[in-house]
Amino acid sequence: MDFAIQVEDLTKVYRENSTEVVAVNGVSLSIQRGEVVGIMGPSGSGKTTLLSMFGCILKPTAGSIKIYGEEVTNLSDKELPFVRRKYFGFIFQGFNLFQPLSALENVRLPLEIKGMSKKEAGALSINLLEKVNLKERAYFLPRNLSGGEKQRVAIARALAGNPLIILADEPTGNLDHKSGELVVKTLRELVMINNASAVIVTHDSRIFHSLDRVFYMEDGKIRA
Amino acid sequence: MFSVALKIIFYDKVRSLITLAGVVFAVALIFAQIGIYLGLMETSSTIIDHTNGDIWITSRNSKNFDFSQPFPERKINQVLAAEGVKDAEKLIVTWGVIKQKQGGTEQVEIIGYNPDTGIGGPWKMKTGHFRDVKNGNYAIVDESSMRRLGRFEIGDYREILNRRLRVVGISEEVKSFTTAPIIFTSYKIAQNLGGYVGPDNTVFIIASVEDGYSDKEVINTLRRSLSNVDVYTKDEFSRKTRLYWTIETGVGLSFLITILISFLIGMLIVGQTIYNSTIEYLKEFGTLKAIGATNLNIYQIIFSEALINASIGYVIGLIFTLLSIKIYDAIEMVFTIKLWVALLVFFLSLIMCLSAAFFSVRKVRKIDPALLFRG
Repeated sequence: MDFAIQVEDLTKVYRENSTEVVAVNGVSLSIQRGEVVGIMGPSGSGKTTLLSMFGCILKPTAGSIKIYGEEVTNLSDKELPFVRRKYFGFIFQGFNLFQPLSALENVRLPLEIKGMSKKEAGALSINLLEKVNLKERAYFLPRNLSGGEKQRVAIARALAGNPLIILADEPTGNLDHKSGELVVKTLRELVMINNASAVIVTHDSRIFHSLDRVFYMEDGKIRA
Repeated sequence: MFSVALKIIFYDKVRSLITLAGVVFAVALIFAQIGIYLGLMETSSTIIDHTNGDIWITSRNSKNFDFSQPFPERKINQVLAAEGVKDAEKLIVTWGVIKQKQGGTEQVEIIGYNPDTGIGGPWKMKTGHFRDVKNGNYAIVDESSMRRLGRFEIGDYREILNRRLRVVGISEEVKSFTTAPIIFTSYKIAQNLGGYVGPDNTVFIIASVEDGYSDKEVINTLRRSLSNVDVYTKDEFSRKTRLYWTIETGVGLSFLITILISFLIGMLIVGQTIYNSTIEYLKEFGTLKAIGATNLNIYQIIFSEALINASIGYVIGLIFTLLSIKIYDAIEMVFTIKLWVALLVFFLSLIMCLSAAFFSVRKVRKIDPALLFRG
């Protein structure tokens, strides 16, 4: 079986002075290549913390994480950026686009970080914007795009460099129903085309039908 | 990453203008302080620097050109007799009081030189010749003195230490560090004006070295043969005079403190604005880190912002400085700007902006991942 993500007994404890908060408590799960899974749960249930640990943004307190069979749990801060660069694309509820950069430049930036030449990265970025139907808005600044368009730029950015895993945090959270559907549909299609996987943290029950599996989280644990 | 920094700067126009204003202010102020300081130092040793001669002999423990004590002028015979000395000349620097045309008095610095050789005399004449002070109660006044002494023409009489001297020439470029007007006259007149020099005394002996001898050799010879005097090369005495005004009077320290304050103000303004910009884009920087950018990639953006601000701010500051030279000229102030000063100030503005960017770098290094996921 080709697993994109495997986590074993994953735990994250936040400590503030003498107070301890267990955000994720002994989560074990696997996500296969090509799967689009959702993580649902109430606020404060640990969904975002779990997603951050999947994406090697946050280090677990205990447990292990394997990405395509590669143990990444104990990698150093210097090694982790290269793991993220190799495997992940991220989509955030707040889009997190650079306001001074055009849609094209926002998509091109991660490709340049990955070492691609400006010319090559530019051509690829136009291609990605075309896939999310935003080619004609390539030179628009984010402030001149609608919420749905911004999120589609964020999807194009997440897909830049063909990541094997897309991690999305409430990608439809700031969008109306129609825009939200279009975003998830686009994401789903592009994940399938790239034979990638996607983990979507969401409260939005309207996108359930686009997901292969859904995990429900409560108090830091996955409920059956 | 440089292009991202450029886009950020042009996107946040108001903030960028504030940053630039900070850099321009600091750069212009640093230029002004260094330029005025160098101008003053140049002025303090200008007569030494423009006087032909390799060696300066002064009374023991003389600290500068303007306030040296007299010593017996007969020592010139020992100087002329020393091996390696080609020629020697006496020079008097003393102080006096000049009566103003409209009443009142001004203190003046009097230079008495040999009109036959012109050594120690004016080097650039607007009207007349340095030889014109010979054989009479004559004086050459620098045109920069007009602000203090009022307008004067050739043929005017001025009373200095109760002796009427006729103005026979007007010199240029002889501005005094002490701000007192400089009056040139013959050695004999200066000696007999009744100042503190006294008859049979001189204040300096300036010697030139014969071909085939080094300054050092001749200085050693003179030090062995002369008593109660100090012997310097021209450069040494020029430097000694500058150092006296820089260190012993505290002038240098006050300039240094102003430069330091300008540097710190610039650094704080740039630091504050770049820090605000970093905070504003913290989520985006975090996103870049999430998609694989290293801290170094982000630092490149922040430091590029600092470099761009430093470079643009420096150029504008330099233009302001060059334009202000005319103002300094108009108020008779010597302002010196040299290539090495321009390079030094550029280096200082780079350091100022780059160190300001360090405040932000710390923030980026410790971005809270949770920040990325806040809608």
